[in-house]
Amino acid sequence: MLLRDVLWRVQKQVGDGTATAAILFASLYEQGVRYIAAGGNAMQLRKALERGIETILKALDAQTQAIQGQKNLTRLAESLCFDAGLAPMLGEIFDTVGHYGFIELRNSNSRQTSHRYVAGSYWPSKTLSPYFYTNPGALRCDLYDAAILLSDLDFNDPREMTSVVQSVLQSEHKALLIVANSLSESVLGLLVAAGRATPLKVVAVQAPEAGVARIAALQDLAALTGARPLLKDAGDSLRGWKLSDLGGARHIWSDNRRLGIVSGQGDPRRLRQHIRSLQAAYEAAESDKKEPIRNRIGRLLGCSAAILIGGDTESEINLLEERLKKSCALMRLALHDGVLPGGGIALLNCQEALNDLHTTSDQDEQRAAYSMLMRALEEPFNTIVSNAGYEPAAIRSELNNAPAGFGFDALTGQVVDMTAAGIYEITQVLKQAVRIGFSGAATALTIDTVVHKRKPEVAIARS
Amino acid sequence: MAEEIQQIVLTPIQGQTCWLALRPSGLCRSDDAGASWQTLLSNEQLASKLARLIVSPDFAHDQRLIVGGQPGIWWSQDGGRSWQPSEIELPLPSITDFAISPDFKRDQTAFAASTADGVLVSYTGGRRWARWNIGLFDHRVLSLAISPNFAHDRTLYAGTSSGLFRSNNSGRSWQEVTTPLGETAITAVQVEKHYEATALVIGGTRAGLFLSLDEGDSWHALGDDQLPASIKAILTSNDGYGLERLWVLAQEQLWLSDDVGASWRRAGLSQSSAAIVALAALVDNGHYKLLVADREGGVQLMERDS
Repeated sequence: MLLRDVLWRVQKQVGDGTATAAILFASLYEQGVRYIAAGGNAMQLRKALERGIETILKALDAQTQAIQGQKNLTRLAESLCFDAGLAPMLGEIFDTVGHYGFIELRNSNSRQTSHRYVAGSYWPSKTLSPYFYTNPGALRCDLYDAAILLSDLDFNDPREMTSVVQSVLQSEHKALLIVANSLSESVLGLLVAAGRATPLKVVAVQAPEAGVARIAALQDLAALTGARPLLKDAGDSLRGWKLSDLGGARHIWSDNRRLGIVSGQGDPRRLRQHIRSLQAAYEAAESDKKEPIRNRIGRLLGCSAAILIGGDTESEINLLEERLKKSCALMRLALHDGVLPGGGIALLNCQEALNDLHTTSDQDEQRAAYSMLMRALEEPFNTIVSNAGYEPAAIRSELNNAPAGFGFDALTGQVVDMTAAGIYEITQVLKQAVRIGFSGAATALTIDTVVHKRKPEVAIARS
Repeated sequence: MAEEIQQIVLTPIQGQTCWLALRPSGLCRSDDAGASWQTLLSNEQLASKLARLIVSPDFAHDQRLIVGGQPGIWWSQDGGRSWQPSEIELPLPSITDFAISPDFKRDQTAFAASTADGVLVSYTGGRRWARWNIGLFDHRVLSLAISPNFAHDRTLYAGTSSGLFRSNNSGRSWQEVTTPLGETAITAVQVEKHYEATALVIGGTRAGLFLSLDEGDSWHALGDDQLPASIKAILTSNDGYGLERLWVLAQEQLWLSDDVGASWRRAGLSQSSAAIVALAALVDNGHYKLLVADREGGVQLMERDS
């Protein structure tokens, strides 16, 4: 039961690594139970185990290397999704959009899965009237060199909006985008008429998102375009509006689902500060709160890609979507935190640091704890080798004569340079498997009775 | 020749050196060291201000020229006798600089910097251009430089109004490079091979000249107080050890260094005191050729480091 909780936590935090965590847990727990049954001090053992775990985590950090380049990312993708067709696409996408990239998974109209990059940044939104479409056939409007009035207000008074349109007409702007919560019929009529009767092209769209996310989206749009947003919460209205409140963009597009901004004309220094503050918030956020912040950063950096998922049946498409979601999440972790040599080699390499502790420690419990951890660190490697039908001791002997960084490729049965062969572990995944797997086992060794809930609060998504 | 020259280019062709000069009125070519000029492209034809020119590294064979306007881009495949507008999604960009792949003959890759649309890339020898600004959040790009080893490292640099950006994947995405210039506009960038390292030299509007030999991780100043600020152009001898001879155009003065920027001296036109506005260099049969243009339209070839 405790093991289930351990695996649940690993899956929830990093989405992978449960098998490694289970193997580490089982090995340490079995060794620990034997030691305690023979009269060892459980609490002293646990304390030493915790010190040993920290040493392993530091040793893993020391081995971590950044992963970059389309070729390496493609190899990593193949090891994550086990699909030679998808891997080159994921490798190219992540080489292009990077860790912060905003990747949208959509159903394709064809059987093939494809991808495309979206110029600029886009938000969920919609054009407030079909009369605004500049290309009615495609249900789309495009504005070039447009001014932007940014708000989350309800515009109901046509007189106030008239003064805005007149001011913009007298300026150098050729087009005007109005972002609002809603427009009254009379304001809508005024804007449509202005678009037809004057050289100014006018489009109105709904403010993106809702609630707190809307404020965040408007802040991002403001940094990108240089606009000063008029906000309900700040008590703003069109009465105090000035021409300098307008932002700008080289190209704006909108349809019935999205609002896109290409080459916003905001101050790049202000935009840089805004991105940096979001990056700091991202690093400080807990893992389940990171995604919305990451999407904001990705949008501001113009890193947007769409994967159009194709398939013959709905279940095939759903399965592919789940696999892509998991692979994308792990690719992001790899880009952000780096990778380690795979196949259990990174864990074997940590034995040296533990051995140093072992030789310098003077307590029985400490020596026992470090020995147990060293033994447990061998288990993932042994399991991989055994599962491939080879004898672990023989392969270990081969590895002892191989250069540093070499490991066992279970697919080919060869001892190879793991980095050159593209056999990686994602650092964050392995570290969580080590931390949670070993800590769980250490906790279990000091527990006699466990009270547990009958059902977990949330089911783990199928992966 | 009274008209100011915005850019000059030297290119070898059929045993001679061809001069190309971009002026507000159009693009001119001289095959006789400036004695006579032939108009290749006039602004009346384009109804646009010409801003920048780039010549194919294989010009002697492919005759490919690309010019950037304000706005628009045009290309020629017959040495400038005929021109076609490039295909670009609206709105048309105003071009500030070009960079062309050293392996252009094979990959047909060129890059264009623009005043408000970031960087555009063409994989079709200039026929079609697309904006690729992933990670490049400052779209006011003032200068571009491409790695001499681009075919292998796929690296290029963009100097913008607020800093320097690098791409390691042929311009598909960009990362910001921290420089000693902070958020100052980077007006000139040059990438050269310097013995075993790839050297990156940048110049800004408020500060002087800086060199990095580790892709921008660390920097040191070149010239200290000897050079004026506001670097407009950086030029190397382009002979394989590019930084041995380094020219810099700053505040309409030409400066020359023969010791990788450790010391500098003024260089210039022997018969003119006019402000220098453009320069181009070529190594031809082991001889340096430096073409210098002044504000009054004078153009002079300097065979030596005068």
